Amino acid sequence: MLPAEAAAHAFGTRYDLPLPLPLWLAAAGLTVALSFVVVALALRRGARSTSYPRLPLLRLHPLALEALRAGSACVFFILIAAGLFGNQDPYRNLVPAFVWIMWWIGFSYLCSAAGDLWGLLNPWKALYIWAEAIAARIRPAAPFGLQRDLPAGVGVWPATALLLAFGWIEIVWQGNTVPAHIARLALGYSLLTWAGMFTFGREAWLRSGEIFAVYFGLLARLAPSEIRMRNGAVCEWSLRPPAAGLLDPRPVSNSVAFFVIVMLATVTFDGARETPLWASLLARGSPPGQPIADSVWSAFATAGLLLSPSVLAVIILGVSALMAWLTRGDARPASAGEIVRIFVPTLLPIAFAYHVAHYLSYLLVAGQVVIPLASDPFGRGWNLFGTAHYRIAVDIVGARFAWYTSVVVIVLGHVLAMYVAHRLALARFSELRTARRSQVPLAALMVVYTIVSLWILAQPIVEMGSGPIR
Amino acid sequence: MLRIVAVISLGACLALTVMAGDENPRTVRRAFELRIAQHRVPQAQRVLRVTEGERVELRWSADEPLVLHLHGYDIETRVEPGKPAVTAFAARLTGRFPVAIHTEGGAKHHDRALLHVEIHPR
Repeated sequence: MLPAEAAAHAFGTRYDLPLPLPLWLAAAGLTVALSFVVVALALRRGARSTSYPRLPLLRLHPLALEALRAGSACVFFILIAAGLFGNQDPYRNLVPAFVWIMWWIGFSYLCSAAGDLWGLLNPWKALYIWAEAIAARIRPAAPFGLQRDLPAGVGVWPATALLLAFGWIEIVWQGNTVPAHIARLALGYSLLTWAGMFTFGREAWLRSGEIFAVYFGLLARLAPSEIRMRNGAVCEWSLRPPAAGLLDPRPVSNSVAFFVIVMLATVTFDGARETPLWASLLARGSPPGQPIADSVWSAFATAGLLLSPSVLAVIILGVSALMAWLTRGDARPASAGEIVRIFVPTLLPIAFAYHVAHYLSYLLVAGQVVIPLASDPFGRGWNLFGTAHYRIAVDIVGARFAWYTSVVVIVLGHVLAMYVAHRLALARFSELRTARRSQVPLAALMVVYTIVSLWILAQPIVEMGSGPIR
Repeated sequence: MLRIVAVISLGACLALTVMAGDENPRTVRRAFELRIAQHRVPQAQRVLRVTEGERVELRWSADEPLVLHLHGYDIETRVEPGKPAVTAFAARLTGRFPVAIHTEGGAKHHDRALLHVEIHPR
């Protein structure tokens, strides 16, 4: 068999064994037990401050930053060219594997480990900055762009709507592995992003309309290190306690809260749509004895994608209302809305941990396809780096590795979420008693959310193309 | 916080060491008789469970010519009516691997799984 063909079968196919029942129960038990430990250790009066120590590691020279951005822009152009002009077999073109595995999954992990790397590497931002610089050379006096103000209520609603659209492309749309489709979508998104930057200003649009700036920026809050930019040129990388970026006691806006809810819901829905439960739900929508039609699958998945954030939003509102009611006796009581906006980001570590548990072995196995494809990005039989005949090592991670990393990561994510929420409660409420009370419904929600994540991992994966034919 | 992290990581390391175990020298053979009719096997055979290290034989018979592909292990087997075929392999990779029917000239990657072989760690 040809190496390329061997590579082909690893992309998109997952070989994860479901989490065995004893391990699932043990992890769930550990989650509940550790929740009590966090409550006992974290709720102390001294922990009221939300400031944290920083240890500077590296300061990037402005030229190095420009070089990184130039590299990122090059990769962007190569991917667009490979998508438009390369081989349209998704398994012979670098674009699908790079975009869906290396960037969408791998780069997320990088940002949540190292900090907001997207802020440095974002090719749309880099290209726009250079356009601004060129414009300033040509007409130094004239301002670049239309300089309109985004209305105050806009927040990150544009990015939230775009994130839902992106989620639909990722989870539902069956054309999402065709290289030319990805390239055209990226070009369309480039036009939209640059138009937004040109109309409302670069930074304003990055804050409210650029999905990935918002998305990777939120994930970077989980990181044990942070990247800080000064004047857009000097860039500092420093160590800090994990998830310190979530300790900001200022409530986020409604739109950011909903953006986070969409993130949480799509991550969970993405896993849930591969469970036998989902498959049996689908089977009810199809005539008996027939394989599930693509149209039925798409309709159900679209409904699930739109419904899951709404359902999660209602649950979170309910929990927040309960938290508000329990803390009404505090000297500084908070409304349910404010509680949502303070505490919703604390759920991110749980969602992220589930994402890692679900995708880490896939990233490590299927992600290897970029090794041969880097040598032949257009699928034309090139061998640029001598790696074109690399064969994927399926055995680099076994079931045991996947199981134990899943459980450890999920339990750690849960503990981190609980810890951050407690710190924020201490900072927000003036009495220890009410801070403690406020956490009871939230802790219950977190335990349920974590156990649901573990339940999904305990289900055999039923991929769309491999679903059961009744 | 630090204490909790330390305890969990220690626990995880311990668990991993205990689970690593040593190899079993005796090879167990596991054979499955699989009759494919209209691109399907009976419900009870849609998931075959074996243990890492076992010698697995999937003995196929079919009502039409088919190419069967065991993913992950990447083994292709041709089966025809009246000409049974065997997919034999040593279960060294753990995981849940689909066996897909590859129709000639068809859309290869959208093929549905005929069954899954689950290879559980020892």
